[in-house]
Amino acid sequence: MSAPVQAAKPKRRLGLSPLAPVPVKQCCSQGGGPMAGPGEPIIALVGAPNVGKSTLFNALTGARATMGNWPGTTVETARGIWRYKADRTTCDCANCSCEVGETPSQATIIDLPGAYSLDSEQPDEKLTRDLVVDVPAQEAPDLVVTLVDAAHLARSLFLVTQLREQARRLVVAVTMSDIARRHGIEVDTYALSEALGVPVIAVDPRHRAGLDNLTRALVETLHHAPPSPRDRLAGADSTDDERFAWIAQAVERGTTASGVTSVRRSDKVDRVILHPVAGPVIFLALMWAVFEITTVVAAPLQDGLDWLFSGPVSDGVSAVLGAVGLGGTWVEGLLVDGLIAGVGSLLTFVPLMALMFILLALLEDSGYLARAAVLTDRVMARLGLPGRAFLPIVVGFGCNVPGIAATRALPNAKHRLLTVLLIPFTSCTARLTVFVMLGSIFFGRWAGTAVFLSYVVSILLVVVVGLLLRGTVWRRLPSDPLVIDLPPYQTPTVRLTAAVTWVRLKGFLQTASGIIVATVILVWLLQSIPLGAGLGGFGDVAVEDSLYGGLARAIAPVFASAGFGAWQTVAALVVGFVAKEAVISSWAQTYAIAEENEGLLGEHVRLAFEQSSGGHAVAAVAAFMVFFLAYTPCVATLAAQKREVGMKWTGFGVVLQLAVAFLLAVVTFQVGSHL
Amino acid sequence: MHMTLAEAPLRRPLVIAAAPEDPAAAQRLMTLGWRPGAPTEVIRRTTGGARVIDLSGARIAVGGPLSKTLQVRPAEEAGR
Repeated sequence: MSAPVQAAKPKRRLGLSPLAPVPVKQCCSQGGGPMAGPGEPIIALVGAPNVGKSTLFNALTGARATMGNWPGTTVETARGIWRYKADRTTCDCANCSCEVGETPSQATIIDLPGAYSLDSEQPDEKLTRDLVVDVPAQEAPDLVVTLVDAAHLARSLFLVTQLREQARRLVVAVTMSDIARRHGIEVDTYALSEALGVPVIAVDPRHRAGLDNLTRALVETLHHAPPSPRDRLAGADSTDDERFAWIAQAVERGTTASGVTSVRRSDKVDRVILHPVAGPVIFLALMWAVFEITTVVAAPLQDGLDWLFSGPVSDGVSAVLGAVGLGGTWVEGLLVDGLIAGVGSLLTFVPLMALMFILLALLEDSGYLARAAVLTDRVMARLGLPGRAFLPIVVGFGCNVPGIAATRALPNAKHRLLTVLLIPFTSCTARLTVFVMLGSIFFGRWAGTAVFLSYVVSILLVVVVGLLLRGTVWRRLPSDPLVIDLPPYQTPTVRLTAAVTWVRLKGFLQTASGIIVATVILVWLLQSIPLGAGLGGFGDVAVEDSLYGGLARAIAPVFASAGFGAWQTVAALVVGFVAKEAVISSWAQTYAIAEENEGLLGEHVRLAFEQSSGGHAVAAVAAFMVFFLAYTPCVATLAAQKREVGMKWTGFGVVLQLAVAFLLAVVTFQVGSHL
Repeated sequence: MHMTLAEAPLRRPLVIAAAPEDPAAAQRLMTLGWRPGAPTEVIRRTTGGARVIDLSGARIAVGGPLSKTLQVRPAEEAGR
């Protein structure tokens, strides 16, 4: 465990660096410079990946954060409200007296993507330049906080060097001081501040150390005009040479090396973790564990929530409605089968998503995710993806929704988009229940082989569609040779893990709730509207006589060439669009058979496939399974996709999935029925 | 004598001989401290021919194909 930052330099624990603006009372100062912004100031956090930027963001904003793409881009940024107490002074300048107090204040903090410099053309890194440098001063953040890694100060200061060439308010926050100390390096924030010409504060956001000093520095800096750009050194051959010379001077003044270089603990761990043979084995074991936890552990929690909403909650609402004379009416249908079913469906994803976000935070925070990216880079490079795209795809085999959420670990927006589009082709466990049922009905003792083949087809689909997209839509996907900074291993903290998990979970619920609940209500509505007079009343109609049944019959001929053009089968596919878990219950509802009576249900399903395929039921069910595997997984996946890549690309994904699914289903049936 | 990072022995002091040819890699490596004349060392070989190197005190993983293009030379030859 690292020591708190303040303990390292007790003599200066409360002091700001000497070049921090002098805390002159504003009301008595003579032109102390313009205050930041007319209203609430905006502070941007910038810095290299793994330097603790998002950790500081979470420490400052807590749960008051929202995640989302920057307008007009697919680059994700987080915005949060930072509440702090600013000095308040009521001054009588004639008598030179001031009463000092504190005023609750707040600022907006933007956590920008990790950036090593302002030169990169990668969309994520370019956003930092666009927002901090290229915008007019009045639209730029009022203050930029640059985080630098004390253990690798020279490298971290490159970004500071470039930012100091602009007239921007800047505060440098030094992180990883504990690791630097273990390497025999001490950072003197006082001297470093003199060298850089801006306030330098040591912080340890993981343990919330140094935040008071940082707050003071930020508040004081906001009260003063931006500093002038730094002076250039003479005699350098190029701009970069001049920058590195300036950095070298700053490092020399701002650090002291004891000469004691400890043997790196991380190096020892990496002997095993990055071993050419043991490394991949450990990686696969960890991926298996993630897969198991996000499916097996979450399953009883999901079942419990499902039971709660379909049982006591629905029964309770029905009882209340019955007591007020609305039992059996469309109002009960809307509330129980629409609203409660929709909310219940949404909430059953919460345990799954929470577990996924916790695991993702642990893997990120511990430093393992960077190693996993190295281990899988060669394999994923064939699809034009970086190694760390492996994790979301593996998770997708458990459930597509957390898999898509896990793409957030990919720093490049194009890689994130491609991965988000590929994940729906991974066969999630919800599909598995249908495959097991169909396998046992149609393939007998070969049912296990049929289910196994569904996974093989799923992997092939990911590879083939990935290559297809790489060769068409992403022909210009830039080569991204692996160059990755391996952060030291560290023990994840509960506070940080919980904060990151909560922010991500809240973001998912905010985005997904509308689309999931709305779709479930829409399906209920379609099933409640009778196709004509005499077929029943609104909310009291057999499925086949409802608008839903009518639509299924209208769509069914489209699937005749794939061998499963029966309206009951197509109705199940429509329900599967909402949630694959509901397909078996949809069949049971359509055939008016208890779900538990699998034998009779199986006979009905077999008959439907026999009739729709002209006697080639096995080929038809194989085609159906291929279609089922490749078409849109569920509305929750769509909601997750919309959140990550926006509506346009989500729509593109749906069209792509339907096109691939239909084409493969037709080919499967046509070939299979002629064998 | 120049050699590529892929050819360099483990745990031997090296000096960077040239900037990377790949522009994307050059930009990224430069900000991490890859500059001609700067010291480096190959710490580990890992999967896919990737190398873990010591660069300015940090551990940087470099992919297999890229490590075959990065030029270094032994530090003793460079007089270090």
